[in-house]
Amino acid sequence: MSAKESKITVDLTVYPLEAVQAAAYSLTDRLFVRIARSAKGSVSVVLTPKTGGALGTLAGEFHNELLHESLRLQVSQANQKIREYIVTKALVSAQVPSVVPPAAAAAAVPAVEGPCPECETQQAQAAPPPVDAELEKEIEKLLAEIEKGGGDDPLGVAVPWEEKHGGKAVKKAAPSKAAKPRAA
Amino acid sequence: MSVAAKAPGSPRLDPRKTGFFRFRRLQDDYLITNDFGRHAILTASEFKSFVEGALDQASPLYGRLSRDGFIRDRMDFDALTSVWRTRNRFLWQGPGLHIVVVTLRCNHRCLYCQANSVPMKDESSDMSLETARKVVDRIFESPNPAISIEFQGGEPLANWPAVEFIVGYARKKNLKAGKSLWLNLVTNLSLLDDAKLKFLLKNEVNFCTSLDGPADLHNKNRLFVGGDSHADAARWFKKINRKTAGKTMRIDALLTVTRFSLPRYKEIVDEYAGLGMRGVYLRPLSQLGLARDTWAQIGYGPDEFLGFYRKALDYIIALNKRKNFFEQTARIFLAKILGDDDPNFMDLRSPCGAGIGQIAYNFDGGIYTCDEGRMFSRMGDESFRIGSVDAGSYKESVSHPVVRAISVASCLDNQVQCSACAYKPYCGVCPVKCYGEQGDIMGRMPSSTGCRVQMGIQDILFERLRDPKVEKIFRKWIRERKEPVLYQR
Repeated sequence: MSAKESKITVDLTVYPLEAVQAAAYSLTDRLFVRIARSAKGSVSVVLTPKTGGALGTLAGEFHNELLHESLRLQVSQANQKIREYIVTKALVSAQVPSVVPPAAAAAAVPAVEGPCPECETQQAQAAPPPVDAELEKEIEKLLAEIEKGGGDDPLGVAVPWEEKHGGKAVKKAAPSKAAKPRAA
Repeated sequence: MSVAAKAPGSPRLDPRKTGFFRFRRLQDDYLITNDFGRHAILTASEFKSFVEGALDQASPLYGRLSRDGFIRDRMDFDALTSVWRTRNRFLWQGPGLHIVVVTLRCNHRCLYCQANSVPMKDESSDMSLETARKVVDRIFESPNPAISIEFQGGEPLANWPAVEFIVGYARKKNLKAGKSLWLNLVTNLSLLDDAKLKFLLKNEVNFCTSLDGPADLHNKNRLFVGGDSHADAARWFKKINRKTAGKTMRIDALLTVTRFSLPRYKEIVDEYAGLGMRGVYLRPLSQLGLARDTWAQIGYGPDEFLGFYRKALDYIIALNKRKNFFEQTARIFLAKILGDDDPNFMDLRSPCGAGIGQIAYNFDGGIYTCDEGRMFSRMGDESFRIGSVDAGSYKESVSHPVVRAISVASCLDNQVQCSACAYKPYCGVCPVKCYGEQGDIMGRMPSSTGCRVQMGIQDILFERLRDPKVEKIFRKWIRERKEPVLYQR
């Protein structure tokens, strides 16, 4: 082991390999990283600074990132189905507006400061969190809606105007707010 | 040096109570955000209690986190779905921004020119009227009910017949289509005259010019042989500003920050405020076109830009004690951080706008994913070409494999680091710039200049947001954001 390298052995029963990889990746602007199989149930991570820098500090940063990435993975895994469900429902509702009740749209207010009466109501009426199996069924149902209408272009982005509206004028839309021109 | 990583010291997640969140350390505290763009800044002990599902349910913090979708067993699915849909509504709109390069000719030789313009006498790069007609026909095929046609170049006024034709033809076509049509001319103003101005104002064309600061700084960046670029820009700006007062169209200006600008942030802001502008847009330089060759002279690193940005933003915040004046990059981020709207800025959305939100049309009818993609064509690289107005269809261009590849690359959920970043709801990645900088449209965020700048700006904004007086100013900036097109860049 060179004095210019730091070798860290990570116990995979404590940290998942994905967290090790993500933590290492986040430091690749400053470090060369080599991950190799070590003893059973662990990996070795060799960190080599690209342009000097305090090795101890960089190794410390890696340890912190390892903790952060582990937590991120847990949060992501625990909430995967709920997130898929909400996104799928939002996308399907672009085609089938009835999927999101109008009342819900009205209730969607921008973030504001301080507690609000609405929160109190939600707390009082809150149901237990749905289990993943229920959400799975819901997602399948919603995806079936997409299959019915969209195919390769479910959001209709590639459908020409004339095909979509038959050349008829539509109600004036909000101005397109867009882009970033370079200098004139 | 050899050590072993064993004992985890992070809080123990309660998967039944804690909803999805991303987090980032802000000094001693934690910023948390979620898929609905909601955020909160928690102390270390609040963060621990939140993760472990141990927050006091009677506390205001618990109420706020419940309302904002952070508490798993307090989620209002229908309301949150609507928020998600509102924030991502650009997904099903189709291309709204259409950039038309009517010529590559230009009478300026700007040090950072990204278009690789050609001399004024070289008329081979002028768009023909036949091509212009096909371009407009193609633009109107977009399913987006709001269309913005932006004239670019070169200097678009160098090919006035094409500009005049496109304005007239688009207005005529729109009588039948009934879209919300916005026409925007990006010009250095030096070739404008009263007759052209009259026509443009009559047809409600918006203007956007370049202004790099005080005269000496502007003219150092923007070389205009035989003329005074700053004098032309300032004179016409004032005249157009006067003539458009109280009307739907307007004139705005864009700043390009070079190395020469870095120590002069006060003078730049003063110049903009002095001309009666409502704000300034502090944009870092892209290493495209001529800027690649002049980088050693005019370029800078991300930390240098962030130092400039921080000082300029603080100067602008101080200026707000006397008058309303905003910074545009901050305003784009703040609109998403403090509200549920998305300004649809093409580089700061997921996926980016290339091909599905914007399209660029070259002078010869070539179609590109975006203006940056078209600039690569000028450098001899046709990687981002997605068709031609002379052949194929709208559908073929929008469904082109290049558009699909860029959509995948710019979808932040597919980016290793972005997908877990606390700034994901507010940020975006430009695969074309990644390609330019790193040779790969997927990009590697830890060493990406764009990532460093965007994260740095958001760090500064969240730092400033902790001061209630500054938050009040920021909220005012986004309340005043209801305006047409041009200043949204």
